[in-house]
Amino acid sequence: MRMIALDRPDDPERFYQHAAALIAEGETPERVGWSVGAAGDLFASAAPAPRAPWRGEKHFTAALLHRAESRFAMVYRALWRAARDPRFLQNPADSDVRALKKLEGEARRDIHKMRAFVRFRELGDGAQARFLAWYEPSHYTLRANADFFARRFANMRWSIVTPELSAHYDEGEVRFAPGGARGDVPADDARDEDWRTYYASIFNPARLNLAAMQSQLPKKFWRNLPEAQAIPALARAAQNRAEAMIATPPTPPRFSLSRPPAPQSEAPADASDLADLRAQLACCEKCPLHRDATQTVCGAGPARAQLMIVAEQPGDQEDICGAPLVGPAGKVFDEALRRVGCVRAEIYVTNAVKHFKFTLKGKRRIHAKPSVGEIDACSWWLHREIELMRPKIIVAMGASALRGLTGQTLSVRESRGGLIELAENRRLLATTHPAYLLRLEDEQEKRLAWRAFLDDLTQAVKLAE
Amino acid sequence: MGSNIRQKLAILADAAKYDASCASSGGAKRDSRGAKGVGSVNGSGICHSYTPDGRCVSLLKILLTNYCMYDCAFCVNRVSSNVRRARFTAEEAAQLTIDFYRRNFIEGLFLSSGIIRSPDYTMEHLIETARLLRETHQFRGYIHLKAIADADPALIARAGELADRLSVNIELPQEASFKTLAPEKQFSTIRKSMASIRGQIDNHAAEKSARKRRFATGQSTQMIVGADSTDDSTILRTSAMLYGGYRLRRVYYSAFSPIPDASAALPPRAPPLRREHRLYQADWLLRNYGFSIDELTQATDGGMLDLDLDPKTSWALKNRALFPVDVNRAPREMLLRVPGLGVRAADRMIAARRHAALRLDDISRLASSVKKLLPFITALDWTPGATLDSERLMQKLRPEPRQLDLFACA
Repeated sequence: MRMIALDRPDDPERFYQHAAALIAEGETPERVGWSVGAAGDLFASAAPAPRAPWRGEKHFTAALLHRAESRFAMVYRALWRAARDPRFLQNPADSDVRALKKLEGEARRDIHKMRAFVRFRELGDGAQARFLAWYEPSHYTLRANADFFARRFANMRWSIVTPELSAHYDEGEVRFAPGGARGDVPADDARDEDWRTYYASIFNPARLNLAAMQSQLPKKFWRNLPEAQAIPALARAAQNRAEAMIATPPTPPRFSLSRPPAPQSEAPADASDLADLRAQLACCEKCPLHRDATQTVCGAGPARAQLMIVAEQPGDQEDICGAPLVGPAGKVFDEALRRVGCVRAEIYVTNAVKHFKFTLKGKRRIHAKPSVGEIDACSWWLHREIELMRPKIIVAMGASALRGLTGQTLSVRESRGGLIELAENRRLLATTHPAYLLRLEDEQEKRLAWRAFLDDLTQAVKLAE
Repeated sequence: MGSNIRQKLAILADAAKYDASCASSGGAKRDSRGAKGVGSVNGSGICHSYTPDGRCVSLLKILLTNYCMYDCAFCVNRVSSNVRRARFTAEEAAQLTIDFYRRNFIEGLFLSSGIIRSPDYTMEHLIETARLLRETHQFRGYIHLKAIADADPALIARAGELADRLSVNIELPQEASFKTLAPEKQFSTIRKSMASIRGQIDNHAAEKSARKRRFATGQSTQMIVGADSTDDSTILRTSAMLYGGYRLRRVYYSAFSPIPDASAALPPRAPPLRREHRLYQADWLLRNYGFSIDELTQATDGGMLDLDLDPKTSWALKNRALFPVDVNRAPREMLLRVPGLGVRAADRMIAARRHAALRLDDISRLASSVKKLLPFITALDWTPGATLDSERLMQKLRPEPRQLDLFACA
């Protein structure tokens, strides 16, 4: 039997060095025994235990911080097996893996609980202040946790004292020293009473659930938590407090209420200009799309614009920021405008449908095509926009815009590039929607579609002059 | 700290406790090394204590003031309520946060407020508290700020630069309820605020320089359950819309709880807390298990989730034709639909079955309880036979009546 005596119970690095040497020497797990400190001396050979650098991943380091004495043997056994065939490490049903995962889970929980339940007491004040905590971990977790506290309280002088080890931090350095006793740390702190006040006030007596509390905060932690002494009294009084709240009839307000006026949602009756139109549009309930959309997305651009662009409907991004054509299709549109030398700020851009229509797919809102009914309901607004704007030329991008403007279902493929005469001598030019250009995958097809789109825009810009 | 502060703390914490959110997770990682103050955020949150209601205490959750000009019937702080009122100055709230933080009582601050004078005025005071913490105290811990729905978007943007999380509480699950219970608020305004926050979060996340990227990493909201007559499927549908539209990290459900000096417009009794629990379970299925809102609606009975059965079991019982699921072959998304099988157990099974075909024995080691799975799975040495078709399966899965009593006080 090879007995390996480790200096410290919480030194995974050293353990791995021994393991590396032992595996290289071919020591089977059955032939190796592990101990911490002097206990191993009885069996230890005079020579110091062999060490070698550990190459590769360090598995189960958290398990090595567990208090179980068998932890070293268990991890060594797993490392020995892994040196021959590491595949079992990926098998959660393997009994060694399961046992070690369990140890790891318990040690990690202990690390987490220490981060949660350490309570510092302030000693002295101002620049001289020191913060001391007494804590009783279940496993050998203080050393592994010290870095967390050093990062969090980098500009405090603090000490965490446990029965077996203490950590002292000052000026960026953590120093470890032997453990101490509860009496080494002040029992109280000036803020304890405030903390208990907070604890008692944030508790809702109508929801008393001691079982849920104790599953997260078992009694073994209570003696070191200043707030825990309030628990029994809070729990006792809870039932009565909740019943009293229900039994007490509502009291009339002590003063007469002068209510602030409800927010104005009334739209102006008549839209004499674009601003009025926008205000009216914001309250539109002509079709069900307003229910799920964030907001109406109105047209944008100068009232004097001679070129009016009509796209289909707002998409996800337009719905979020409330402006038309700003999403991916909007980017394509802007690029096209740039190429034909047109400035977006000088044209008016709007949609045939003013609310975003979508279906939910997981956490995404997927664009859904507006129905003819929805387009027709919304065309009332579109025509009001045209009446107020009186643009020289209107460009319909895509089938929905064509429908909204003409009231007819026309094919974009057949209509594009040609002028359509609308009532009151208005002229309409049909073209594709920029989203169509985004969807095309065939390079040749894409080039042709882009060309046609740019030609249409160029023609529209000329007609607007 | 004077007793005056302590009295204010008692009032302003009491006023904040009906907000269910306490999470301190999901912030951008940072710490106080090389800085002047204290604080760190390491991604996953920490619960520093638990109150006797079983809820986690992670943040100092307070209102800056519980004076409020609105009259929302469900709220303990409504203008017509006779509760005691108090107001912290920004300095007091910031100092209290630092004092608690240095003792490791908390992860940071969750600050909300009643609306005083105007939404902008209120928002400015919330921002000032966060600014003091970040700039004067050089605080690097977690800050969650309430975004006041009608406040100027520029103020919301400033709040986002200082906070890790923003939230606008929608409170009521449908538009119609606002008219009766929260007459001064509007569903559409709240939705627009959430959209504006999402837009700002997205824009900052797309920034190249780390300094410009610094912004809240998420938003959440809360809905009160049982103060109005909205059913569960409508509540869940609203949640799905909020997750999809505004990328909320969480929707919190808060079973309407009896409050001191309640409004006569409210039901006097609280809804069963188990209803809130079932909604959380259904919400979880929506976010992490690939369930669609239509499937969840299917799991309800006339719009309400079964209080005795978890939503996944309810759904499975209505879709028995999809079961049993072969644990050795089924894709992950189908494993996740087995009642009693969680994400971790499903992933462990997928890893383990690459090594050897799974038997019941293996499954009992990989899942927390094998008994619940039995009617819904097949394994190398197990088929459920006729149990799945049995009319009595629903009764078998329901908890015993005695257990119900145990739950009743939970």
